[in-house]
Amino acid sequence: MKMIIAIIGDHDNESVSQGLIQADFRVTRIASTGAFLRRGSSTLMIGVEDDKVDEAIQIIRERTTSTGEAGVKRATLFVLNIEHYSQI
Amino acid sequence: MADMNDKYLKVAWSAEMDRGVKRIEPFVDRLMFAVVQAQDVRKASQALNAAGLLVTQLTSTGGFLGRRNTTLLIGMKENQEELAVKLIHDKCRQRVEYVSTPLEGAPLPIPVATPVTVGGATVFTFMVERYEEI
Repeated sequence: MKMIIAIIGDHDNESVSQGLIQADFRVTRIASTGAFLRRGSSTLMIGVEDDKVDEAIQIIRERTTSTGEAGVKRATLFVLNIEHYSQI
Repeated sequence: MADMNDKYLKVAWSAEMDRGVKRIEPFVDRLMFAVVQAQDVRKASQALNAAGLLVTQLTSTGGFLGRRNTTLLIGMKENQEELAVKLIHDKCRQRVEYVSTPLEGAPLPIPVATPVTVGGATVFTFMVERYEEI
């Protein structure tokens, strides 16, 4: 099990979460502010099976849009290993 | 690994040119969660930013006093861990606050000021298996 922590711009929040949910990923959204995306951002926590990490990242890649500003990232992704996972 | 680093160097370079800001090349293999008090957030994230670290802020609430605090997500390289902890340590102070609790054994709830030590910061560091910027 892996956890993807994805920091995306607010404007992409809806589209990315919908895309992930449609593909059967479980997503937790946290409103956040970022120093590097500078305006309002959303942090998504996504628990995924080891072999689904690429699929989830692909969805994020397809669904994030550029703000038009040069040098501004669309998303920052961290993939962490999860020692224990259970849904209760 | 070598070409991975090159890729991120390029990202850093263009960001640097556009913003005119000097920052450290953002190859990341550690993710730090730092829970800091609301009063310390600005100082702490400014210091971390100045050191070229990537900081995202999440608003959160402490479990014991129910006070507002902020969770900082900080992406960094392994060798920056010590620096980040030092910066957080310098900017986040421990404080004694007083909460009102009812006096024990009294027939009426008489409030008594009880000192509680709050703050400093709580820091968790995770290994990042993979890091991407899109």
